[in-house]
Amino acid sequence: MDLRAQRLTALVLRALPYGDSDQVVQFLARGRGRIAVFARGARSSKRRFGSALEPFQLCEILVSARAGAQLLSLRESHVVEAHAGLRDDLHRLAHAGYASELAHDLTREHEPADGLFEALAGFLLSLAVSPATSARLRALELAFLSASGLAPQLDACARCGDEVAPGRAALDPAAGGLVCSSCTPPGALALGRGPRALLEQLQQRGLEGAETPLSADGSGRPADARAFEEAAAQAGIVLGAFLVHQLGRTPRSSAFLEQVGAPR
Amino acid sequence: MSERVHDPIARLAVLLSRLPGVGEKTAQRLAFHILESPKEYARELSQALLALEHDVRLCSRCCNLTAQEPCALCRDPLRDGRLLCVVETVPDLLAIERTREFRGRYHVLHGALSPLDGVGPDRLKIKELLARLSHDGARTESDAAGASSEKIEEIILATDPTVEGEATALYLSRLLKPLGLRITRIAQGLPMGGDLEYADQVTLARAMSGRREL
Ligand SMILES: [Zn+2]
Ligand SMILES: [Zn+2]
Repeated sequence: MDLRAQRLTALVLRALPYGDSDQVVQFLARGRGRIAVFARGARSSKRRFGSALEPFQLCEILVSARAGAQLLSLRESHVVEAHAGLRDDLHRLAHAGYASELAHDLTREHEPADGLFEALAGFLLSLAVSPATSARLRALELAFLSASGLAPQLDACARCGDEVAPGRAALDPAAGGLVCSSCTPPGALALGRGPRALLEQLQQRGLEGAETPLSADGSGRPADARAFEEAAAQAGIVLGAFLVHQLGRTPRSSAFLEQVGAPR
Repeated sequence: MSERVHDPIARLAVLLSRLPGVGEKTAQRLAFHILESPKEYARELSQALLALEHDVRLCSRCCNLTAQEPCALCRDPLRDGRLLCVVETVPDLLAIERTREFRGRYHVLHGALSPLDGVGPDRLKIKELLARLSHDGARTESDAAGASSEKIEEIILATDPTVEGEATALYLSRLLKPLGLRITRIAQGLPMGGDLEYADQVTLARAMSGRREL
């Protein structure tokens, strides 16, 4: 029995084969959060849903709940934005895969996650038309963490609340952010001046900060693009450890980034 | 689980029910069918199953599944050794063979790169592909065993039109370009998100002939 059909705007996170002819698709839907949807016939007949179940696309979907069934069923799916440019570049695909895995792991089924949805949608839109960069990845990670209530505290020591002197900072995942030199536990990863300024800027300005980075001197002038990207890669080591601590595991796709030589 | 089932019919049914698309009821029906068939059938079936385990291995040249070394496709002197078609799986190879359009040789990767599952290049038969290309023209172990020699001029990337297949094609084209070979990708006629194995023969034949240079 059809209980209710619902039309949703959703990003395809991934689709897994189910038996010979069907698929189970993980969507991140605006207003609904992450949902697992049963797509009957998606494997055996491409006419059924066409290419509308391929990862990283923005789709309009029609889903219905069925009494007694755990999964929603997919009745229609239309591509709104294919992000076709992702398929022209291996590094972009690698970044899109990483973003989708993070989005999956930072959300729970049926819990609305609109902040995360918008961050992922914006990320994919700009990734599809410009080169994959470390800076954009950092902006995404910070936006995801903040949308999940896990944003690292960057403005003061997360343990004692004191100001953290420039050049003497470390990021302590257990404390939830930056720690000053007297609160730094052994083994904490040091965060240099450049990477720290970069994280601050990206936390304030979001994706915009990665697309048009500003100089750290407060002058409002554009930052040196290469130095900024270099700082983003360095910050990635520290923010990556922070993410792994929050997720409780290392994302599978981060090894992929390394293996195909994508910016990290 | 099967180890604990002693009744021969139930044991067979349990094993059959692990096959894709075979439910418990069908498995039981198949088990009874085998039981009621002439004795030779069961014997031949069991021998065929054992042969899978004992005799089938990967062709040392193209990584196709074969009982002979090298495989029939690598041995066939009528196949065009200048064309090499790279596919994800053996069923994809068979699908292209069914079109009867392609007369070159193959290389089977046994998978595709997956940004989402963290399947990197080291999990595919890419090392074997590179070894094969560097042996280009020279006599190799498999030549000695009867493979026709090959002088590869064009590599056709016939991976699926999915994110994984595209990622694999992009990776391979970057890896192989410096070798100075012509690298092509099968045409877009295939529906995106599709699997070569499921493509109809006409579409697949058209995709092969309409390939574009990378
Ligand atoms: Zn402190
Ligand atoms: Zn072979």
